[in-house]
Amino acid sequence: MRAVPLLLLLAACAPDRPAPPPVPPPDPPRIASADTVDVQGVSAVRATLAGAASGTVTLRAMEGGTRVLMTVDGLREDTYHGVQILSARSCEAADGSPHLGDGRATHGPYDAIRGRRHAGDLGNIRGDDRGRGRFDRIDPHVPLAGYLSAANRAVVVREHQDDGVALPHGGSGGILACGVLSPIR
Amino acid sequence: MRTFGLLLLALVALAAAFALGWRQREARIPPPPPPDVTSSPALDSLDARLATLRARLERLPTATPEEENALRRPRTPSYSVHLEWADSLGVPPLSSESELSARLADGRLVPLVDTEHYVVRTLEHSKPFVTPLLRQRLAELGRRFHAELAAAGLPPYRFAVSSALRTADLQRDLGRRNRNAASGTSSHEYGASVDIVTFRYSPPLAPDSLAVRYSDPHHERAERYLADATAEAARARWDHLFGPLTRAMGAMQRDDRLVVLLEAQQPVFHITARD
Repeated sequence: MRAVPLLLLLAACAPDRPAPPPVPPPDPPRIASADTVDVQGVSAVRATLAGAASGTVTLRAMEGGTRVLMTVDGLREDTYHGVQILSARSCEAADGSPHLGDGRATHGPYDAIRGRRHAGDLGNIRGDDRGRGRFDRIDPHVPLAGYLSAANRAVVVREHQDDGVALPHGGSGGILACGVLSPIR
Repeated sequence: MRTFGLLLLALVALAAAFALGWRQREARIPPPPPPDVTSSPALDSLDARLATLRARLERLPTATPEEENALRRPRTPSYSVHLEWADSLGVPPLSSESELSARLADGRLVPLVDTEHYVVRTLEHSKPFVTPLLRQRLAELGRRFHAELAAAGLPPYRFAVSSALRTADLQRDLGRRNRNAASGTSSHEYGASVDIVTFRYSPPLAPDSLAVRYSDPHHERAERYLADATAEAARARWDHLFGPLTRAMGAMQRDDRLVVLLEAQQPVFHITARD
């Protein structure tokens, strides 16, 4: 047993065969994290919604906040549909994506005070007798600039009403339509 | 070989450190016990605060039939009076979004955004813009509404605007579904009128806070519960908030600041600014 440390010491001091220089693996493609992009200079974004419903969503910066203007066809008249901006940057990644927000806020209704809703919690939209829904509101919590910019994020219309309470999506179910908000100028 | 030896030495050192730690595991300091749920000043304060809020809301006088009827037909000015004021103080009816941009640029219309006095609901058949005069009148209405709430010791709940500027297209489309909006020109087309919902009141912009230490383990939970309970109290007792709002509107109509119509078919006040 006493010989074990001696053997180890000898082994450590023994001359070693020079190893061939290691071949560095190729660098993986660099993917910027969705939440570390500081967006500046965007004053308007637009998304074309596709899916079981279709339409457009336009966000434009103005005095007091961001004007959210939506026109969507293919909605039901007898129910509201939740509308949310997600952290995801594509519709493929929209399933399970959290709502756009700083992580300290909780899910809430659109008229909740800061900290009691995500920036992406826009409320609900409803169709008329022809299935067309309109949505027009100047939202003081939705930013187009900074780390929480809505630019290049996915916006979704959900199957059911967002109750502003239940986690994670206010009980609003699956995604009915989705689009990505791209800068328009 | 040397690498192998160094690796083996490191493994032995690791094993020795693990064995030493294992022997001393009994001597570790135990984690602190969970906070005692029954001794939270935040939660104690919360119960008292909510009881007071509900009691004060309950004591707030609802609108009397006299106050309410003063804003209903036939005692309140007819709709033609709204149209006359809107025509004289508003902008010419808009036909497109580009006209809207021009009116915003020249300052004849301004955005209508949530304030400490009111919330602008998601608009389906109108656009969130009004004349500067109407925005001033809404702020004045909010101040009068809040003054009565403050006198009763209540937080500054916000009323809800549900309709603002309409273009001719939106007015036509609305007319297909709503008999109230079906006939002719609306004062909403001039940007000088809005509708205010009678039964929806949003929580205050600045949240009420508990006067207890942040170190209280339940402080954050209690704050959240207080905010939710404040909103819930307004939903349950909206008629007691309808009272001060009705009185504030009646006073502004008597002072020639607004023309008010408490509609019969929709749960809204239709108000138009006047000079």
